[in-house]
Amino acid sequence: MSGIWIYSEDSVIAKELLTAGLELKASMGQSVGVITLAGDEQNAFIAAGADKVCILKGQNPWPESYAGAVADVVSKEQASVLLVGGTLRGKDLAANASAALRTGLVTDALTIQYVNNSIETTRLVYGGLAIQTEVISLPAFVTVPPRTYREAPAMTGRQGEVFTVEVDTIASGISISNVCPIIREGADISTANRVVGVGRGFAKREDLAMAEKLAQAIGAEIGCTRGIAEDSHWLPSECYIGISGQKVKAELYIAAGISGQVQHIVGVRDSKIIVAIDTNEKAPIFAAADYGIVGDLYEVLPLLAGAMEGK
Amino acid sequence: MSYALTEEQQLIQQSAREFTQEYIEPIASEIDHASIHPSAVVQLMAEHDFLGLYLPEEFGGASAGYLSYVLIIEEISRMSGAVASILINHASLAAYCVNRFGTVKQKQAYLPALCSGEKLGAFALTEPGAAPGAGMHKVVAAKEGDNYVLNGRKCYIANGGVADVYVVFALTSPEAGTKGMSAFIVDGNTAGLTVSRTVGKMGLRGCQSAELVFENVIVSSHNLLGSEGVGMKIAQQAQLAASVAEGAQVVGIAQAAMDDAVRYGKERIQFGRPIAAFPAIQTMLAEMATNIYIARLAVYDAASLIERDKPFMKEAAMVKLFTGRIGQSALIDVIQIEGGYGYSQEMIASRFYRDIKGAVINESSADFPEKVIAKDLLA
Amino acid sequence: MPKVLVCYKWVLDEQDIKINLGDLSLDSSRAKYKISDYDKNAIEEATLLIEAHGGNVDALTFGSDKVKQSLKDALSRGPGSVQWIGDAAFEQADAFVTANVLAAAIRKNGTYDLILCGEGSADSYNQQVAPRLAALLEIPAITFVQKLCMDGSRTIATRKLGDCTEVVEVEGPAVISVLPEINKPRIPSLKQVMAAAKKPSQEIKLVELELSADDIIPKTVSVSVKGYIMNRKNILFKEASHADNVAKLVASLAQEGLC
Repeated sequence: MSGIWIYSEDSVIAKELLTAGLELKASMGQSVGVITLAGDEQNAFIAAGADKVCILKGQNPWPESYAGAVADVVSKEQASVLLVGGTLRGKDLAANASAALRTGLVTDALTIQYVNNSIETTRLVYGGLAIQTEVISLPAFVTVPPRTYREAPAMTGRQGEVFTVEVDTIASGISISNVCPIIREGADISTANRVVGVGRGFAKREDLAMAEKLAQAIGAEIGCTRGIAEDSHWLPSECYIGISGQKVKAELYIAAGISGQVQHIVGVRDSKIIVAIDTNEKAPIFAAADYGIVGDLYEVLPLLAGAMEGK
Repeated sequence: MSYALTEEQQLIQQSAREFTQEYIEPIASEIDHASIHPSAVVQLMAEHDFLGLYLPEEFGGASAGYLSYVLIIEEISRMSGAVASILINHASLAAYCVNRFGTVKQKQAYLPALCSGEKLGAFALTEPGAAPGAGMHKVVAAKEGDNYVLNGRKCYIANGGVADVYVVFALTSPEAGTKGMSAFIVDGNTAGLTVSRTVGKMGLRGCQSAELVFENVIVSSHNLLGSEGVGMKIAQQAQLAASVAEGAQVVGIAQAAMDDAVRYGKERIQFGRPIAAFPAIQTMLAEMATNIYIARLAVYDAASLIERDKPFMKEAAMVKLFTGRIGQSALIDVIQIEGGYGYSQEMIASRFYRDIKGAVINESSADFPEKVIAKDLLA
Repeated sequence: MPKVLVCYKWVLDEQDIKINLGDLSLDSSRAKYKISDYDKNAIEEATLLIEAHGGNVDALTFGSDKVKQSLKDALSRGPGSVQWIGDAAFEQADAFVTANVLAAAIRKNGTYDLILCGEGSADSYNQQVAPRLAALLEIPAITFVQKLCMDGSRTIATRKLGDCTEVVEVEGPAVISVLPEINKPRIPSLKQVMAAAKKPSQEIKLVELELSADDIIPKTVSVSVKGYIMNRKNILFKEASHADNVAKLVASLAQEGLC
């Protein structure tokens, strides 16, 4: 077995994975290849460190339909590792290819290492309560969340091998229609520098205006708990922060009226400073916070917005 | 829990817990603050078969037995004593009387609607100056042709004003005192029946209590429960059946309060260690846990007597007597452990303290349980 | 009328799991089990489908010997019957093994019009079983579905994929994984809880599935599970005057260079 391969339908993520792939290359002494649907990115991948680029060429615009083709390449190249960009499409494709080749697959790896001729990964389990270390026998498939690694920088003068595989992916009986981008009302909270999160402590939808006022004062975006987005529908579901929602990596996260279930905290704990405001001193959010005010957000938020204004 | 609950009873308990966490916990303190009857929750309880849980399937109930029913009362009480009181007055008092003492026709006419939640029940016994079981009643029911005409006042009627069906106790032979009392099923919208005022309460706020005025209220003789003169017997039996449910209510409130005190005791640091590490606190907790354990067993046992149609009056009275004592002492200790924290108005412990007092005094004027127990012993 | 299968997992309730602060090991001795939250959405969606179209829903689960405790809970939420595989092999099973076992059990039963799963499990959240099952059964997978309709033998599903939604139509059987937003699972009524006891459940022994030894050897092996501990400053301001609290907070944020 030889070769570390990378696949993502998103070329930016593929370049992030190249950083992980190059780390493995250093420890495994194997070449790094990129499987891509984007033929025009071949030179960029090579510049960023790819030794090989395999371009999948087919008529089907549905990325998931290339699972079989990815599996074929991985199999033919006798890959020892396949890193897949952990978008939902990527996870779908990786599981499908993994089933076809009867390999192990780790979802959402936080770290990937080559140890004792196997791949060792860490990932979150129990809703973020714990970290599990797993060993995968080779060939090992791993999906990696977007933005886990920085994009591998382009270098000049690199050479690589490029080959194209013609793919016949006329999937039977499936048709895709109405592909509709989700229009975000604000900026993407997963990349925002400052985020104000709102939870059940708000009694009415209109009261969210207080959080908006604070967000305005500090230049933040608004996020929320799963309950606010999916039960109350006060905010669109793209605003929902948590293990199955958005992950916030802000310099400042302010949680207002959020009790702080572990599933929510997982979504914010990569933030630099966390501030919590809640009436219940025993709420778990305070254990996850750097600074907290125990009190009614209806009193605290307007004061805080006033104090931060113009700062 | 070691009491041998059947798998079905455990599943009912678990499902009730899921229900109360979803629907009752979020509103419990709000209905206490605002003293509002939670009609949406009552409707949800109806949809989930809580209202007719132990009542016969043929009349729209679930035939799950009285023990399953007290299990859900216990679960509800852990979140809200007030919601438990609404259900107890509906199911253990009003519907109980119709089911236990009604004719097939009366059951057909009233139980399906009481089980489905289309109608809520209430039990109208207490009068100004007349304590339950103590006589001095003044509401009269005069026979006129095929009807009775009711006149007088009732007070502290739980679910009063929000109920659709009242089981009303009135004197058909005033000269015979309580032996001349009879029980009637009275529709809430009958002409002449009005609510003169609702009563603000210390606890169990959200279970509305009202004063009812009967002014020439005409009730068909078809709505007489049992026969003339058996009203007191009906009332006493229903109150004892309700005592078992109130025992479950006390156990539920006390358990929730104790859980809160345990959590607080582990977190609150004084003199460098959690207060739960102090022997005085441990003694209080141990005593309340023991009392709750024993009370729960007694409640379940008395409920299973009712379920199996065995004599239960003495045991029900014992439940009332015992849960009354241990419930109040548990809450006094919980507030002691939590100190200023538990004593603050917005804290759950102070609500439990007020609610448990209400659960204890309902159906238990003065020495009523003791009388029942002694009478049985000396018979 | 559709014949629907829903797969679910019986998992430890993560809210009950404590972290031992010494060695960061997990203490699940007081943890209860539950049907994985996302699978409750799958059960609800399957139930809604047959309430709208007729037909029936069967449930299928693979777990340890403890999985038997889940049967009536699952049945009270809508399915008409349940099959279960309770085997010690589950303790080490990864998604590879789980999918092999479930696929073998499904093949044994014949065909279904739709097979529903949650998008992932509440404990390990691998998000693999649905696409793996589809690959093994050689039928399409439609994953991450937020809206699902059936029209005769066609299934129309709206997927939500982070930055876009797309409508996928498929003719014939498929495996669907559902997102939590697809519905709000009902809390069963007590009559439904009681009726669950009368519904059929059937045990399938792992050996009956005639899997090869290789099919039940996991490809990923867990070597450790450690509690995740955060190091935060945990400074609380709880004076009576919120003006003071806010002033202190703002001063702290200024020190952090945040205002």
